[in-house]
Amino acid sequence: MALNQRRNGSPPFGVFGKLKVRLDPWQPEFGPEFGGIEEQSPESPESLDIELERSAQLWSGIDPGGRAGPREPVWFIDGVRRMEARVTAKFNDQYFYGAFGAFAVGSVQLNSEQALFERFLTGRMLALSSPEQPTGEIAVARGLIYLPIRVADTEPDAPIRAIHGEMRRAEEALARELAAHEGRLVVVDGPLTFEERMRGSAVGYIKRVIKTYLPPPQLALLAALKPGQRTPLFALRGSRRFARISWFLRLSEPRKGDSEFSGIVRLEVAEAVGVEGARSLADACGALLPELKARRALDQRAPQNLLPISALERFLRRKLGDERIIRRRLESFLVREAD
Amino acid sequence: MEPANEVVGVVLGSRDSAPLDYWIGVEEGKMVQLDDLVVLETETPDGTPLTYYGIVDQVTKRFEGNAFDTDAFHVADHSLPVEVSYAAHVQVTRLDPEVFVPPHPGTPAQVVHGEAYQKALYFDRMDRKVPIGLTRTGEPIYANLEFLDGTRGAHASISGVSGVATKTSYATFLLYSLFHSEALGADAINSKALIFNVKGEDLLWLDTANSRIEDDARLQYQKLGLPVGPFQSVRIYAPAKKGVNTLMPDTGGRAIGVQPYVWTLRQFAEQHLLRFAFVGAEDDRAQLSFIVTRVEHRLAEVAKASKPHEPFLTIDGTRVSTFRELVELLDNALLAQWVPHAAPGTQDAFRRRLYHSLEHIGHLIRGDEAASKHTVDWESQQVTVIDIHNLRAAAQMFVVGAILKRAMEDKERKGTAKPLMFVVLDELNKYAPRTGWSPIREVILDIAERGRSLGVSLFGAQQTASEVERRVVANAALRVVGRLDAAEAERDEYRFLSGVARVRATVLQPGSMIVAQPEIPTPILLRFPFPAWATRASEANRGAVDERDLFSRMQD
Repeated sequence: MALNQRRNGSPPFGVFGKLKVRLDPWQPEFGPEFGGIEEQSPESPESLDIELERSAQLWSGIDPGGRAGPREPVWFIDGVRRMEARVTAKFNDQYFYGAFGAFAVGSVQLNSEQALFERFLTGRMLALSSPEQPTGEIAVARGLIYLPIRVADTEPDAPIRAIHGEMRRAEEALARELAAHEGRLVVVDGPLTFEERMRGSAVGYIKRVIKTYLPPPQLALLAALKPGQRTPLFALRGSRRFARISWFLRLSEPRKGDSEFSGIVRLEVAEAVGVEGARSLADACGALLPELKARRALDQRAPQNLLPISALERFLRRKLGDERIIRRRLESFLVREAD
Repeated sequence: MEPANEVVGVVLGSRDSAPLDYWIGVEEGKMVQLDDLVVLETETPDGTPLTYYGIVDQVTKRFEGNAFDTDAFHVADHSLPVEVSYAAHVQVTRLDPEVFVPPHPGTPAQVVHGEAYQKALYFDRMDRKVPIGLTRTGEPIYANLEFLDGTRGAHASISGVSGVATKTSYATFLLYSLFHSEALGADAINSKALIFNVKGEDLLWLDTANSRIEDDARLQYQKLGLPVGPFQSVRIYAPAKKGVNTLMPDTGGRAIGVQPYVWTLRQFAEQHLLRFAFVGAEDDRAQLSFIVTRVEHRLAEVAKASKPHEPFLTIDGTRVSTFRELVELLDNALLAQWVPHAAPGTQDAFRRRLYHSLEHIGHLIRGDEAASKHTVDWESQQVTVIDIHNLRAAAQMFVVGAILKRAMEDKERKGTAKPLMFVVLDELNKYAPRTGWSPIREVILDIAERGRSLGVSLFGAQQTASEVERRVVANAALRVVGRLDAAEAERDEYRFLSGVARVRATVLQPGSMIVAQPEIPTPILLRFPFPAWATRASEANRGAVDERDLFSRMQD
């Protein structure tokens, strides 16, 4: 539409108004996806309580509570995001960073009948740190519409973080919605972001173990866990996030030459769930997750990148559209707008 | 009732879409199967409506994206969610109007029935159409009569493995349809059919209703607009029994209502039939055929000279009233007298073959009074079945050759294409082989090449079209295959089948055929109904003929 108005002799303002939005020539991280964003705020002091389930002296690997039989339905939630073009915006002779980006969030339901992609939603946005913002949605092409979001921070990577944040919020909304049903188990990819008690249960699944938390004696146990075993529960309490109950679970034996911590994931639930609640969730996860581990030959992020999650990521990425085409659309759009 | 037309998916953009073939993606919960008719209704950029009609010749399903083979196991144990692509390949049969642009990906595709189906296969353009079967979903399939009655083409070629291909059953069904549908109109009454019963006794019950016909078969006949019943005007001939003096038909399961057939010696001489007694003669044929022609000629002269209604011959004052007498006469003195210049070796070869033929056809050529009443007559009824299945190969050759030759000569004499004559002959590879020469091959080739203008249409059947004289197969307008041997299906004779159709031909069930016809650019798989006439003694229950079915159409 914007283009038509211009041709009809409308004022020489495009969708960006007084902002001059240009492609950033330097796009080192342009690619299918930008690198991992540090999930853990690095130095948030958190207190650790390892005697939640049993005393520190009695720490040992715990086998999953045997719960064979028909599989209860379980939901997995994941999201993907990518930057589609990095831009700079000039306003009042000042330069600001921005990014066109997109995310997709979805869920997979596994039950005793089938595994299916259940829900998904996508979002596209232009994250700009400039004080002036475009006023409406930015229609780059049919079906390719970006919503402007304001980024408070002016750091170069702030727009990317903002897109990531949007995705996390969408994941959280979906998780809340799914976990609002009685008795459901919802496994959310990444740390848990909400604390309230739901009718169902939400478990955060952290596949990349960056911080081991545990003091050395218990750390030795972590290395010695057998596949399917978990550590006793421990509590994490800090000022920046709500209190959680967490445990480590080994999905598979490390291969020769692997770190002793490979094949280990961390799970967490809100402490509000209670120790008993956490224990039964730990049992459920212990019985289920090792079954879903990815095969090393087929997935670089094996075994932690569980089969339903990697399938969901592929599915969601496809829903974002072909990035080369979108990139070209954006380029020609910005060229038109620069006229 | 008839299912409604339904949008089942859209044209795919992930595979090339072309004016003559494209892929559609099938929506979840919808079904598209082989042989479904798919229609796209779209427009050219200038706004002209454009309709693509096509037939599904392949359907596939697969996991989308970079799927690993092992994914299937995880999907089976419900640990891996996948998206399944369900695609169908459509072979375009008709474009209306003929604007050859590729269909746009995303165009909705519908599976059609009824009227649109008929249009997709050009049945709307056929003025006189003959029902030739039903699709698996019950849509009637037609052939254009103009390609069977000689107007624009003639002949049908039916190939397939013995036993499972149901070739003769289909040929008989075609005849039934021709005679009982409205296609032939007023010509139906005078049109004739000559059917050779080569194997078994399947065709000896055409005049009898099938007592085992079920309701669903009746429904199929109804859909095709055909009555349910036996052929209406049939005469069945079987060869005269060997070794008995009275004329009796040599049949197994059926004795009543079967006429014996023979030739009189006079007919043998008059019609130049000696050549058909010599069909095994492939070696040194130039010399031998000279003698044959010469002797035939002299015999014809003898026949001319004798009184018109005498079944025997009188040669130089000697009355010859059996074939044996003729053979012996020729052997003794006549041969040297009629062909004095032939080399003695050739004469001996002639004699040897003559005695050989005596053994096989001697009982079919007679000079007594009774014989003249038992020659094959195809003028007084619509369908004439000539049983040859009990005869030795040499005698079969003689019968087929002698009858077809006379049929062609009759038609030539009349000089008009009407009334039409349809000839059904199985094991065409024996009578018109691709390699080697025989007088029968000449007759059949003559039918294939000139039959069209003379109103003779050959429904030939064979196990392997690759072994039949090329020109005979090439002249057939309607090409039909039943179950084919896999190696045979790859031969050039079956290039009219698409790749998928060739594979399907190797797994066809009895009662299913693939038919290619000139106006429809793709071969169609069809089924034909269970015969409404008996094909064996156990199905022939004379008392059970349902009169209502037989005559219901006549009252309309």
